[in-house]
Amino acid sequence: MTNRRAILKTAGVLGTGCLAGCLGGDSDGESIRPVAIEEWPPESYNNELNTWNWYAEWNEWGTEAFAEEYDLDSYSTETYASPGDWFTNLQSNPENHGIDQIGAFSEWQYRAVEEDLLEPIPIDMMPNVEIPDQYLDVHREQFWSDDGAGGLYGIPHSIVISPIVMYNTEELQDPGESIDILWDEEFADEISMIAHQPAILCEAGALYTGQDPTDPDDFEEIQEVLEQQRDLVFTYADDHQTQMQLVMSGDATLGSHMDGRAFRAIYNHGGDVDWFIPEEGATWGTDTLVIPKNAPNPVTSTMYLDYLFSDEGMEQLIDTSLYRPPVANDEFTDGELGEIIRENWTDEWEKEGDAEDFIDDLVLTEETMDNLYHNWPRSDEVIERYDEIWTAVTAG
Amino acid sequence: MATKTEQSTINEYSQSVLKYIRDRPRLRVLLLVGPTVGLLVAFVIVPVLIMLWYAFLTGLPPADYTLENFARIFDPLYLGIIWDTFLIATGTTIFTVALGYTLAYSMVRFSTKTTVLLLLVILPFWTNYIVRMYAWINILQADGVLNWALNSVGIVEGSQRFMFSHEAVLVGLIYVWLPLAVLPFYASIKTMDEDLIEAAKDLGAGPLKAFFTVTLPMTKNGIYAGLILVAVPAFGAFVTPALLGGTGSVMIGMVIDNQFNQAFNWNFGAALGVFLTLVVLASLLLAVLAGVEDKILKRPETEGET
Repeated sequence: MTNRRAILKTAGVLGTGCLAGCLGGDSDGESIRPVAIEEWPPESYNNELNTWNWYAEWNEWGTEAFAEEYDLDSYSTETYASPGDWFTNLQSNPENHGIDQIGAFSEWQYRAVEEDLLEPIPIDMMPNVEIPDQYLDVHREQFWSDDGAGGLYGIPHSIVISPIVMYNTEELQDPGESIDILWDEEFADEISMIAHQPAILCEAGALYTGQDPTDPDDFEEIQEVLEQQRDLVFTYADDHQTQMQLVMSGDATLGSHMDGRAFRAIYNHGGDVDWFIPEEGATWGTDTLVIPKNAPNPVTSTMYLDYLFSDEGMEQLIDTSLYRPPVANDEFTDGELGEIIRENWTDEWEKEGDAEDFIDDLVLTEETMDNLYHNWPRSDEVIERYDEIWTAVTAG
Repeated sequence: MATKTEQSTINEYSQSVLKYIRDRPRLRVLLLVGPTVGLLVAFVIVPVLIMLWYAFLTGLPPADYTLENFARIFDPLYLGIIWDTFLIATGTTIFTVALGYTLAYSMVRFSTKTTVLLLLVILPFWTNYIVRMYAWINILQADGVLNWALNSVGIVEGSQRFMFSHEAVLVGLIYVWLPLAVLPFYASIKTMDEDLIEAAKDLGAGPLKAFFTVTLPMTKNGIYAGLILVAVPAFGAFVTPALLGGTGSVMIGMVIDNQFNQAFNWNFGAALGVFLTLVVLASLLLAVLAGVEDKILKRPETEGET
């Protein structure tokens, strides 16, 4: 015979548990969302961290230093071949993916938000994350959580400009400032275009034809000029490294690329390379850090994200990747970060060239920003048409 | 430690289990083949079915059904790429089979160091695919090994561009799939009865005639295996053409990769994948039918006599 008192007791316990769950439950590191963190630093957090980031060196330094400082029991760092890897992982194991933090960029971050795969991050309460409005406003506009919890889906950690014109200074001394040079017949069979993704190739075509690269009016014209250019191009490089090497070695006199890779060619490898942002403009985008929904250690991940934005985290980002962190210009020119760059440039970091030149490269003036398009959002039509154009041009 | 009584009980139990299985042929087959079939279903059939399902959707599930993804394949742009892919895959297969067969034949007929040579053939498999491709980049690039060697012996002057061409893709693909072709060729040549060649020569056949009338027909099963092992992966290649190819070296595998990793059009990528799978299956079916037909036509002249 069933004991009625036992049933009532069990129901009472279950009901209380459910109510506690609905009210947010116990405030430990395991069960609360990042946006539910009420104080900084958080009172409790898990002693584990699992990260995926293709800024491998920076991430390895970060996890190791963070684990030591916060006495973590275990941590792991992984990288991935393409953004589709982490996206598929989250999509196929939405509750058991085991990932706490991912290095992403706007396009894939947007897709992950659309699929409800990411957690909003309480950027306003994280003391180290101080991103100037010129970089953050666009993100707040596009990636602010609208589920009532507040927070930002992904924090930008690097500012990347593309397509820039990168050229070999041994082969070309006076390139001018126009993107037209990528269509100059004088350089037939000496041009290589970065084409690891459809957008970066098509954006060059859009800028050449005077259109908005994120929302062009005339796709046919873009395809036409890229097909014209094809006769001058000897290859469409499928990855960053190959394109950088081609220009550094002089195999390619010039080509399109991203500014971060130009920095690496000049300051890491001492290559005979220079670059410019075309006067017709370019796009700017961000590499971001995101926290997946159902991350096993969301509070620890939020703390780690803040840690990466510390002064030392930004220094390490520059040293290991030479990409531009999202800090105010005067931080580079007159601030502590600039001082660190100057101090460590030759001896500690073993960089080539002049630290002042690099600092100049990092500064993005208002005038420069006015001439840049933010690379996101793009409509489905733009994505699909760019893909078709890319296929038609590279297969030509 | 088990006592004698326990031991004999265990033995009896094992014997009865074995007898139970022996008496049931279907269960025996199921136990032997089941795990393999299960693996194939889980890791081949199910993913292919998922891909097939995605190919009929307008977006990530849940989404509406459509045939548009398949219709798009017949756009001249994609048909052109499929044709180019077919040409590159065919070229790769022909060269790989010719080189592989020659290599296997030489190993069997003219070498005593067969084991060492076989080891050298399969050695590249122990190196990462991407690393091998980058090795070829170092060989073929403007200031690479090939240019240096050709300049050293005075065949060319200055820097020649070997990279970013159809030829570079072909070299890369041949290099990757050559070991895979050599192994079945080697096995079929090695197991062939050499007395048949001697008999052919005794009957007046020269070396070439003996090769074409005896060796080649006797080793054709190995050749078929090699053909399939090379043609199928070559048709779906995308890393090699991406790294070594230039303008116009786009293969259908690259387009599929792009749909999943860049354009985010998984449905069209899946449709292309299904199409590619169908092409490969159709080719295999034709090969099987050709083999079957061959067997049917090759009836002994004494058939019907007792």
